[in-house]
Amino acid sequence: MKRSLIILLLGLLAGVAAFSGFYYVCTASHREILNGAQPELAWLKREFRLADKEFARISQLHAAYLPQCQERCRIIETQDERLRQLLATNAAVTPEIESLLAERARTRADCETVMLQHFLEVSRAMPPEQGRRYLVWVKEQTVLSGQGMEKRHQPTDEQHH
Amino acid sequence: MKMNFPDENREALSELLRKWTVEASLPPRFRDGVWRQIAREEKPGLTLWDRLSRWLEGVLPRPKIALAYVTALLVAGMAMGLWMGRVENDRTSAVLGSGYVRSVDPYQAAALNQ
Repeated sequence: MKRSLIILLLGLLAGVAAFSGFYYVCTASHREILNGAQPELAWLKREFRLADKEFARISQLHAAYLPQCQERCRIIETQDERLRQLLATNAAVTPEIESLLAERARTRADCETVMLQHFLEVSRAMPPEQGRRYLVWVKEQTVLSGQGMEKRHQPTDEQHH
Repeated sequence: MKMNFPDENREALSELLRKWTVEASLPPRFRDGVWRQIAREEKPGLTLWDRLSRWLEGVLPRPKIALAYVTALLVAGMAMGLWMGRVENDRTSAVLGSGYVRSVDPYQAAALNQ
């Protein structure tokens, strides 16, 4: 019985060791990215197979873009807060709310324009194929991300017939 | 079935059996094994666990079976490690991708702050 138990435990130990080893090795690169200074950019480098020179250029573009992005974030939050207050105190769509909604729409348009310009610049700094892939992905994630909702309201083929 | 041998044949057979000696050697601890098996057979109402442990006891010490068992668990561990590693990498990639999008899209960053 003792021998069987030893073999049984040895097998389990081998299985656990193999699992841990392979899991550790397989996730090592992603762990390294997560523990880095700029994990998102490091991920971008890996995902779009960027060379060091391309990555340096993209990091530069990213660093230049961030302060503008943060400023727009602040504007959006201020506008949202104002709208929240107005909606809490008014039971109808007042001219002030209307004006704020228009202002928010303008901010959104400006924001998306600057964002798209940044994405195009970043994509140009990538190898052509990766640049195209990046643009498709990033547009879907940002300016086109609301389309899921619109699609839900589209009539289906069955409804047409 | 009872067999009737003539007396002279019976004598000859008895003589032959007396002279007969077994020369083949028994496997090590054969006698212990036999007694253990007899003792087990005498125990009434074996549980599933008893049956399993008895089966393991009989099967696992065989070198080929032991090797196959350890190898199977080793391979299963490797495959699971690889698979779980990939799943974890996909999850991390998705998290990092979202992080990148939040860093460049003020609307997603603002939504997260609210």
